[in-house]
Amino acid sequence: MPVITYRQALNNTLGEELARDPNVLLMGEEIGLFQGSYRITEGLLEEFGPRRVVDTPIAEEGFVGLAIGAAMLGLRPVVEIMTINFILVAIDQVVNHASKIHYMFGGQVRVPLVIRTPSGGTGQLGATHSQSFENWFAYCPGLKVVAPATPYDAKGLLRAAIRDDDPVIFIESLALYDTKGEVPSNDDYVVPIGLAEIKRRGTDVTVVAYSRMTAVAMQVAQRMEQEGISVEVVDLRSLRPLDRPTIIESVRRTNRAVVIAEDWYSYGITAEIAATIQEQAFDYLDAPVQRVAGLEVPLPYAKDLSAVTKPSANSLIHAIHKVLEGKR
Amino acid sequence: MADVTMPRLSDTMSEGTVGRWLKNVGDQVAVGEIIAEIETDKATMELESFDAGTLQRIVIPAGQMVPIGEVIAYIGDAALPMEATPAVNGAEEGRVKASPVARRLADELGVDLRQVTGSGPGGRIIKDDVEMFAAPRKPGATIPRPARAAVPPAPAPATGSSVAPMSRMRKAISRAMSDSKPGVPHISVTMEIAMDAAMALREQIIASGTKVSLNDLVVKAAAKALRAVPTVNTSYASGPDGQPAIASHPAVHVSVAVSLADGLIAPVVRDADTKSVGTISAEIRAMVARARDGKIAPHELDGATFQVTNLGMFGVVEFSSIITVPQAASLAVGAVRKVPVVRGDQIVIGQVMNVTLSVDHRVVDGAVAAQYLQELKKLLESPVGILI
Repeated sequence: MPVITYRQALNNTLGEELARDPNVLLMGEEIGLFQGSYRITEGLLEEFGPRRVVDTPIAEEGFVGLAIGAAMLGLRPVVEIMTINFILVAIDQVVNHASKIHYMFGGQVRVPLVIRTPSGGTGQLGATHSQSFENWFAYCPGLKVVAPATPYDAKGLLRAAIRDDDPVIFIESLALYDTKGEVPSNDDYVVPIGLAEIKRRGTDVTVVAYSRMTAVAMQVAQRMEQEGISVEVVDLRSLRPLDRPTIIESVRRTNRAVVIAEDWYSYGITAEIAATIQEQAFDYLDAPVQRVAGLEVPLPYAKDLSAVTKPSANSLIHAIHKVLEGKR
Repeated sequence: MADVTMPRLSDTMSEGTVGRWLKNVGDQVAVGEIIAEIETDKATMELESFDAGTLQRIVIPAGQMVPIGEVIAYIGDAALPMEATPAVNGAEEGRVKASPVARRLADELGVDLRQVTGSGPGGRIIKDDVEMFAAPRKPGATIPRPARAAVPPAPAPATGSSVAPMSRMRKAISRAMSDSKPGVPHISVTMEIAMDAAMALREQIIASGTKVSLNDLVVKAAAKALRAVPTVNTSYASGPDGQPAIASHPAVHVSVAVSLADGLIAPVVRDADTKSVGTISAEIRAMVARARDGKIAPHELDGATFQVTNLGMFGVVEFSSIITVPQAASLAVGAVRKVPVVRGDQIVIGQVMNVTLSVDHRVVDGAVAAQYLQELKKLLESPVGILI
């Protein structure tokens, strides 16, 4: 099976979907002539022309609204927001319009819109460009939110998102763009939205993660195997709908759970997962669920300070040891 | 915010009782201020605060006993509200602390959780504990062996002690002894000592105006004998490699068991081999007086390398004593008795005393114990040696 990067997986999928369905179009800042701030749309303007790959002004509220209108009238826009931080000026369009139109107009119209955007903080981009807001959207009924961790899932979920008739927020990560993985070339597979995956089997503790933190969890699981600790990694892949049965089934087997996410600790994704576990696996727990999340500060610009505010392999290892305390 | 924890006030203290709180929640506390009284197995001590601030919460009320290191109160900034902190013990107020899955499993297996020891945080019973408890003992023809874990933990050697690894033979002896006698494997060796000369010496010292008991003479002689047979002045220890080792103590600190109304304590005469009998006598008397008032300081009960215990005043002929870890030996002293003895070809009235040395057989063998008693006998039978 060919090994490609996460970036290539996204780029290939966008090209394939543009070719497959004439109603698909891409919109966003610098995605055409500049070929994308992170080169996700490289070569697509040249191949599909300016009617299918549309450079927009720096006006997120305007072009997200435009995309919602286009989706209502039958197109399938895929909007790139340069980073999730910039979606804040368009949040009224997403939360008050895209998510609710299908409900509020009696099912007369649907909004088959995809908003792709990288989330999280890496590379000293400062406090306003390093945030994780996927929980804001995962909170909102009427939206779907996916966050793939591997090139395979990136491809399968982007296909699913573009072909879905509801608005989907597609969460990427700058730190994942250059990661590699096997992706079949002549296979029109789709990763269904709303299904988590057990990325690694283990018996001592379940680590629940998504996006970049799944990659961290996989490395940690490998390292801890040498210590004789068997870590199971559940990759959520979808934040809404949330695949609660897969999480619960895993925790019932391992009796212990650590949840890791890049967002801030209070009111974050980890809180939702931990609450789910105590509701549905209470009688299977051998220790309180541990949460690993970001420190509740604006992300510092300084590299060393920035590193300690974000969850890391070390903080995950610490939490795993804590949840395993006393286990023989 | 700072934790106030149950302090370790003596070598043997593993838990302490909060006698009474001298500060109330909300009171200001300065560094060094006395905030509570702690009752140990030996004495009542005052607890000084290491921190300044407001006493925000009393976790352990007066009268309750907790292990050392346990949080008994919090001192912090008055502006900060205190979050409720759960008590840390496995069982609190009759409720057994167990994880949900341990509880469910115990239900399924019919295990009474009150009988299970918890290995989780704060003594919480976890699934493994229930499984271990419920595991049926496998029948078989093998001779049961006590668990190796029954060997008491080897304490870190006292500062300044030299630690030498055990020889293979020593290790084998050490292991065999622990297997047979879990805990510290004691053996005891008894010797009869003629005390005529020692009694006469005591009379002379008293006549010269210095108060001295027979036991003071024994303490001094025991300390000098330790110098002659230093193998007895050691501890079973853990070496830097985690392997069993022997710590040899450079100083001779002898503790003297003293009975109190409700138990006993063992104040320590430091460097007893170098002190005069008069000094030893005065020190012991002062410490005993402080102990009876509950005022003895923790350092006065710490650091002994050897112990002397005497039941002679009750007319006890001989007995064997239990070693106080991490010491390697304990000397049990019986009464001085008048007995018929053969001197030359005549039966005369002699004064004799039986002493029994208990040793930790992991580090001291019977022959060494006998050598030590020979040395002690020599010193007490020609007691001029203990004066110089």
